[in-house]
Amino acid sequence: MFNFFGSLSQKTGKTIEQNKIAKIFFFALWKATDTLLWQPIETAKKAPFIRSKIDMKDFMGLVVLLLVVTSVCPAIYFFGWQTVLPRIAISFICGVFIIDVGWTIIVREKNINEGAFVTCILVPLIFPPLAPLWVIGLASALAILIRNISGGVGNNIWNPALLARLLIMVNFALTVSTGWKEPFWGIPTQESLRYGARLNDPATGVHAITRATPLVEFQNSGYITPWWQLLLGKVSGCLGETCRAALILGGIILCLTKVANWRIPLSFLGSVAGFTAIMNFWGAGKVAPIEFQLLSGGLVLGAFFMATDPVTAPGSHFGKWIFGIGCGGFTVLLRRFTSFPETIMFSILIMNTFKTPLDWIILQWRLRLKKSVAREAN
Amino acid sequence: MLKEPKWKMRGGYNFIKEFKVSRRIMPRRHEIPKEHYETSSKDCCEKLRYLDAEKDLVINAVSAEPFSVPISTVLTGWRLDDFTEWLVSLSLLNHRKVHLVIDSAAGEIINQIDEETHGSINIYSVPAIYPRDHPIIAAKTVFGDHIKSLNEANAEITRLEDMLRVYSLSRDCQHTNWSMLSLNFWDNCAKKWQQEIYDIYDDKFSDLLTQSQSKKPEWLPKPNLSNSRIIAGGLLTGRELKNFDEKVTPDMSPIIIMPEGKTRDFLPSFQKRVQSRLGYVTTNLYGEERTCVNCGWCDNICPIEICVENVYQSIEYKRFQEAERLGLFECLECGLCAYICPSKIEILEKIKSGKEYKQEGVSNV
Repeated sequence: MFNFFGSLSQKTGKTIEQNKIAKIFFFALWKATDTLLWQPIETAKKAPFIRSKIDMKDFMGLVVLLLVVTSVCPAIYFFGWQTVLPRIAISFICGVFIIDVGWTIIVREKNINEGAFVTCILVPLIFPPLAPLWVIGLASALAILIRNISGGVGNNIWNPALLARLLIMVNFALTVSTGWKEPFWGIPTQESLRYGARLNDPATGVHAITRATPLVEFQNSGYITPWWQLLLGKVSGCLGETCRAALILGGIILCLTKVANWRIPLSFLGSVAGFTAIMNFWGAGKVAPIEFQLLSGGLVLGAFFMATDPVTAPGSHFGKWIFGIGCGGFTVLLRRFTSFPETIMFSILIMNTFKTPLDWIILQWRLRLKKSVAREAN
Repeated sequence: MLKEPKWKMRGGYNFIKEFKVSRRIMPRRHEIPKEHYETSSKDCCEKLRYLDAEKDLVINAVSAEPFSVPISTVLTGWRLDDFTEWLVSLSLLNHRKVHLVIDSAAGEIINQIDEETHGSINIYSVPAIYPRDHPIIAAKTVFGDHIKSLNEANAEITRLEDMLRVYSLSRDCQHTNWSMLSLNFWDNCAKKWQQEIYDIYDDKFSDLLTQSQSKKPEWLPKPNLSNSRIIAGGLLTGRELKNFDEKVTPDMSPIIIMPEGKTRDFLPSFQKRVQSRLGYVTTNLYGEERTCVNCGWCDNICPIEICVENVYQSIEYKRFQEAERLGLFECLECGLCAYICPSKIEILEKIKSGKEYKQEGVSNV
């Protein structure tokens, strides 16, 4: 039966290719769907005649799958599917189906790139649970649009999802800084899976409780949330960042499969711990203990799933260490000295900016080292 | 004497582990038939230069290319004690050193050679990680990382099979064109790779095929030529064999009859995992070409640590001077970068065209 549908799809493709107007509008879309479901029949014409079985679809697909398991599923448990699924749906509709497909038609590209899926699933996960739907749609549209304008996947300087969040934060500050819904805690019921934690108070009409994130609470009153609550996710925060335990597991799988490089999360988390320890030692004051710093905010999600984006992180191993340490340093400094408690976005974006110069400097350095070694040998 | 390699290869890929050959068939080895001895003096002199040169001698006995003949199989049928004795005499000649870079999978044979030579030749036991069988990698293992080309190493680097041929020449005073070749194909019924090893002399490829298809018991699997591609000289560095009347030469080993892979499997990501378990591989690209995402897998797998990604990018933007500075000419053309690339970019082709441009000024880029 699948063979029948496969050949049907192939025939459809041929028909679309022969028709000039249909080719412009539907060919890329057809190709994306067809290659997702059936293996393309292109073969290696030149040596090497064997190719590894991992392609971009597997590469990006693994990230999306891990995000769904470790971030979307806990989010449904905490906030209910009525909060989570519409946000993801609107993000995909605006990002992939309107902007990316539209872009392919206008620019007449041959392929729809898989990178958009990762961006569009990340966008709702880094916004507050009660952020309006239009904000999320606008953010994912902006993310894909800016990425495409700067040259498509592989040429963007900044992480598109974070850049979009930054733009939204600048323009619609209130939508990003409020709407922290209190997560559900306990044995899930049908209602909790649908709505999350909910108050049914007909007198006041209150449906959901909001609560400041642990970082805001710490900045305002110095209250330190217990680490186990942070680890399991019994705190308010962005939609996808609350259950840190699952995110860490997902991140480790990502590193083991070599889709993400282990150097970046390790140096990022390590340097956050290190800088916090140093600042506590020197008595800078108002710096939270290490376990709170590591588990609060979007640090775990950012370190494993956003800083490791290969396009915006340096290529060399040494560059990756510096990148991670820089991210960690900026995180601790900005959390201490600015009025924005959620600083992962800023630190990753700042270090993204340094990607190209870092790579260039390290390359020159490596070449000089090579030359001197060769001279010594001769 | 067993020695530590002077250079540790960082990247590389273990194909031998991935492509397990289920059945290895080898025709019984007799003495080399007399009609295959050749007395062409020119060839003899060519081979004998190994004995006369005042250079070190590096014998490369690693089989790391997928489906290559294992070293233990190459050595069966030869008298090992006699051969090692001859190697010792070779090392005494002209006071030069003989280095043997050997596959660590050979195990027993290494110890045997070490005992019989009484430490007079240096033995380097290395794991069979591709491209360990490349001559420059062998030279690096013996002399260190600074060797960039074969001219820099003051040594003659030979394959074990060539050495056995010279040995046979000096023993019998007659030159032979014996060599060994493996023919590999996918057995559709057993879902396993089959390997047949042949002694070749002056055969054509069609002779080899008829031998494989007809002159063996019925129950043995036979290669199927429909919907498959014949690749000579290894999967990664070889070429397509189209002319069946071509004379088979030692550098054509291993020959692989490979499934073309033009089937449209449903849900490819899932099917690919299942196929990987079986060791089933076709010439399919397993994906489509995409732009480079800077994942760094090519850099990590490169055995000689050149910045593959930067070289590729600078050739792409026609900055050939920069590519040369980044180590374009150090490239061994092993093809691992193009093999591993998840974006399915033809990196090897780009690098080859970059080299061509620098050498001849022809731009195919």
